[in-house]
Amino acid sequence: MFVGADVTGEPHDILCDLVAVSGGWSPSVHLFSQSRGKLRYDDDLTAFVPDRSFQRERSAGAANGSFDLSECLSEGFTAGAKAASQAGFEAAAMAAPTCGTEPELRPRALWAVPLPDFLHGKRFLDLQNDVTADDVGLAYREGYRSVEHLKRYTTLGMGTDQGRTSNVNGLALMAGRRCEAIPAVGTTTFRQPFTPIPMGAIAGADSHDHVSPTRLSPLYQWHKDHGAPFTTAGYWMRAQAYPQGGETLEEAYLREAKHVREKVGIVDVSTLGKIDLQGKDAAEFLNRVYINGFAKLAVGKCRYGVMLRDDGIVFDDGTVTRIAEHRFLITTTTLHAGAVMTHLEYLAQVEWPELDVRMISVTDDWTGIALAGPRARAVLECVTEGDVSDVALPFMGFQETHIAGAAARLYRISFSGEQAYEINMAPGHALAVWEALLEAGAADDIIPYGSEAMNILRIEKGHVVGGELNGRTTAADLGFGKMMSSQKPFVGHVLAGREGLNGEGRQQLVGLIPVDGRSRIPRGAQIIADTGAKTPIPRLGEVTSQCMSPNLGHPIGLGILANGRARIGDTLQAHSPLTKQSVAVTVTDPIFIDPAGERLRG
Amino acid sequence: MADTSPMQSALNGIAQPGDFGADQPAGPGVTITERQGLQILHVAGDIRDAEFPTQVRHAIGLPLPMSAGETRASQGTRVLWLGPDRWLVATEDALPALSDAAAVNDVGQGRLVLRLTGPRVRDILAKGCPLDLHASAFPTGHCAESLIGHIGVTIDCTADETFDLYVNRSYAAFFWEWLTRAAMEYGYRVLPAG
Repeated sequence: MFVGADVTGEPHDILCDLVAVSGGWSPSVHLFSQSRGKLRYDDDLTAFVPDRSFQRERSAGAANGSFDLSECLSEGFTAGAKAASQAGFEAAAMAAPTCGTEPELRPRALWAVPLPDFLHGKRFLDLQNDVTADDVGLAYREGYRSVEHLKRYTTLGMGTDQGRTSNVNGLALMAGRRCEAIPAVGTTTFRQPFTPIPMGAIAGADSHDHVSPTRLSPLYQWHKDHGAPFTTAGYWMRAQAYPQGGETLEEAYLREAKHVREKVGIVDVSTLGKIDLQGKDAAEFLNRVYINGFAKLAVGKCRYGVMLRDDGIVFDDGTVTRIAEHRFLITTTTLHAGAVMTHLEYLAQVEWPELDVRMISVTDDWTGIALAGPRARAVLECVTEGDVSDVALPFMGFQETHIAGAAARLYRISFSGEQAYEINMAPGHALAVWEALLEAGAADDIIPYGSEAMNILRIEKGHVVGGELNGRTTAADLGFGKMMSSQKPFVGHVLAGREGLNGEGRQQLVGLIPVDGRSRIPRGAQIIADTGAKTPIPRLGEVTSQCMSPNLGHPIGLGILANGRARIGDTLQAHSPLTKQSVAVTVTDPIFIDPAGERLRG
Repeated sequence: MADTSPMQSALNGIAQPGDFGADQPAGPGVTITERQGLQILHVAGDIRDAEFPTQVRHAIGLPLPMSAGETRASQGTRVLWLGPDRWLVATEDALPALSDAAAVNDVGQGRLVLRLTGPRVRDILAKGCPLDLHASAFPTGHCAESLIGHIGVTIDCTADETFDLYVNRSYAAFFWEWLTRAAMEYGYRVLPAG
């Protein structure tokens, strides 16, 4: 038995073209409810009305269950004055306009017309989702008795009207089944928006190139003026290459990558994340963050570092430079710069507040230019008065100096595998330094190169980036196993020792060369043993990076492959189900050029 | 050896002086000036440290503000509270070197600093900032780090209807476009950098 069951009389037929359903005269409590206010069921109104507010809002008039115009006016004036005075403004008492009274509303609930025994028709509650009164009964019998379950089991109130025409009826029927009062059954949560609005209203002016921010290097205009197409890396715009005289993009970057190994080039590396760390415990902090040790890193020296996530998977890599006894500069990958900063701030503030270490992102404060190639030092000597000889500035050394008249930080580090320097200077000086390098290097045939050539050079050296640091690889998988210190704990240390992250079957970093010496390895290809095998074909690994190597004269790739290091010399298939290409590849060491590292120490 | 290379503004070739946007008989809704030549230091340290707050106070001539959003100012120097252990010092004066008790970074070259002043400055910033910028909630002498137009910006209300905005340099062009578009309906004036 439910409220309203007594409203019925003798059945009779009515011919009609249209059936409507009413849930009564319900206040629009949506905004109130969305602000986390609590509702109360009003028996007289047979409707839910605002009860306790959670935020500092107030409901007035029809939204408050007061439908009479004179009530609406007086409640509105009172609420407005109260809100103004509580917000700290002076509110003059204003008399609400008067108007005639309306007949009192005294609805009587009829939640569903009882179905006579001789009829088997459907009694629709929710016209949008065709939910009937009997569906509520079925939900009850099946045990879906809470309003949230009722909603999801029957889809009551899940149409575009979000239950405005049907919810109260459905809840009342369920309350009747449960022999409880409607307030005890409650309502489902009111969802935004109250009324459909165009997506454009939410987006506002944030359309086209303002959907997300754009970050530009101080050298952006130079790249643009010199014909570089751009690619995005996070929010950054990066110059891909500098096509000359009708070259295609590919011709341009292949030429650039070859030129750097033969002569010398410069590339804008401003997008790399840079974090300054200071404090008496900065070395100890880094020791705990990276898998390798930093306590003994000498002032004026750089060291490559790898950091893990808590779960033992590789998080990011970069260089750490000891600028002074208690001051370090670390670099991060472009894409992880924000995440690494958050990670380190968290560790310093939450995990190890006892450590004296302060950090700040200085990515925007230092523009980076990498100078690379066998003639790099010859060019550098033309733009600095400082001693940059191999003795004064050996591989992984650091100097504070002046380049082309600008104060600069000079790091002897190499992403390309060549003799290379990374020059950091204030962004306001970047263009002058860039142009001075090109001018001074003219005799050595210097060129600017873009992110595409930089990528080729790093693949040739087997350096890992996003495709390899993919959130599934461990330090050992990527060949950094020996870097993991056993002398100290570090973030990820414990979980990196899990059985599943060690031993047989791990996918390890390998190099790949096409057997025919000319087929490009398909991007994102799966590595399998035999394309003709019965499906499902076991997947042994995947291609993570691939390019044409202009310095080797054939395509190359990097991949992660199950037991990869033990498979060096094997022939496997790089298969792309997407493009239906299969290329036979030989598994190799991931370092294709100068494995001994003689070029970068030269 | 001093820098001999000239400095280039982040708005080089982007910002042109003049009046733009809607024509307002009463004058532009906002006047925008790039503040150049400021020394801006990010200063971090432990406030419980015996030396740190005293030494910083001696160097900059102002005590460090201690509560969220608080600033301290003297002629030519402003100190902004950025966090429980970090402050921004922006000054037109030459500062003596700060001691080792503080972790200091010169961030002046990496920031674009814009001074916005005018009757509609709060309305313009409110278009892209989630903070309540009404004068009752964000009065003169209040600062905050927040988002404006998707970008992290340090906001400093230096005087009535006057705000200094510190924007990371790589976002300068993007932010300039956002700001001038937001100011279009009120009319805006760009003054030469100073």
